[in-house]
Amino acid sequence: VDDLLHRGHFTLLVLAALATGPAHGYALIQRLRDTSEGAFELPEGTLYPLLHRLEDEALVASRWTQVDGRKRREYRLTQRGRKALVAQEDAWRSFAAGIERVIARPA
Amino acid sequence: VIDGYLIELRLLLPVRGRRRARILAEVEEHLRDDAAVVGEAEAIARFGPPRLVASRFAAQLAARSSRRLVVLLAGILTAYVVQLVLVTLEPPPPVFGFIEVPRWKVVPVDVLIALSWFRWGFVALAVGGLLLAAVRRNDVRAAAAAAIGFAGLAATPLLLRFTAQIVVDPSAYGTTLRWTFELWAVCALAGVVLAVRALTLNRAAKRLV
Repeated sequence: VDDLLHRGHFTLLVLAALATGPAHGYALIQRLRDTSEGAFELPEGTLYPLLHRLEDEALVASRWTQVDGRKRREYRLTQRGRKALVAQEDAWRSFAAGIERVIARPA
Repeated sequence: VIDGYLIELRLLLPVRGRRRARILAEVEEHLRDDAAVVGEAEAIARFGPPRLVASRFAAQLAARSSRRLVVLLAGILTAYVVQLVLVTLEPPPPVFGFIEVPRWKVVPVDVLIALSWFRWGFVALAVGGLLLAAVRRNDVRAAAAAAIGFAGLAATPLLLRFTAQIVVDPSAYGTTLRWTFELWAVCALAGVVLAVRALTLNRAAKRLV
């Protein structure tokens, strides 16, 4: 699973996790862990370089916010990010369906 | 433990200033949040080794420099086309007959004119590098090759101008054409600086893995 994540699917997961609402890095990791039921155990620190790259590409935007008196960098999807998410979801579904058809063998 | 981790990461990150401060602030927030739940040692283990995190940031920053470089190079290419048009519209005065060139100037002029022919190699490097950078996105080496090509191209008009100063009166050139030489050189120099930065970050990303 980790190998698959390094091949670019981590981007799709992060964009999808942000689609439910803005979040800071730690909340995003928790969101990913909860929704995937712990399927992805990757070094959490690799999330931040990815978020910075997505921001460079204008797929996400970020700003400092104060939560419980602490400064946090909050990320949200941009319009461009939403379009990229739809495109990546379509690509993933078509890829996964193809794999499923190949590995589905008659019992 | 978290403080030690942050110090190590700070030393490994190939970036300074506000960008580094932002990265460290985000990492610290994350680690303190997680440490409150699972303890500092476990939070650090889950976050990953500092070298890994620093290498991912170096790769991201190299890609960013490379993208900026491609934009700058596209601007330089446009400036070059403008310059070519200006040279066509505002050529130096034609030289009729034999120019009296002092004996000591003959060899330097010949050498400069010969060197100026290298510009076609620089054109090839610049256009090839740009095309490759456009096809293979975030290819730092392609963008750097283009930057070197443009720097070479910037040097040749200056070379030609220097040659012209030896044999022709420089005031014969129009003002617009004259300042484009300098503008071009500045843009190309900026391109080389960005290219060096992109290559350094790319090397840092590979070294840290």
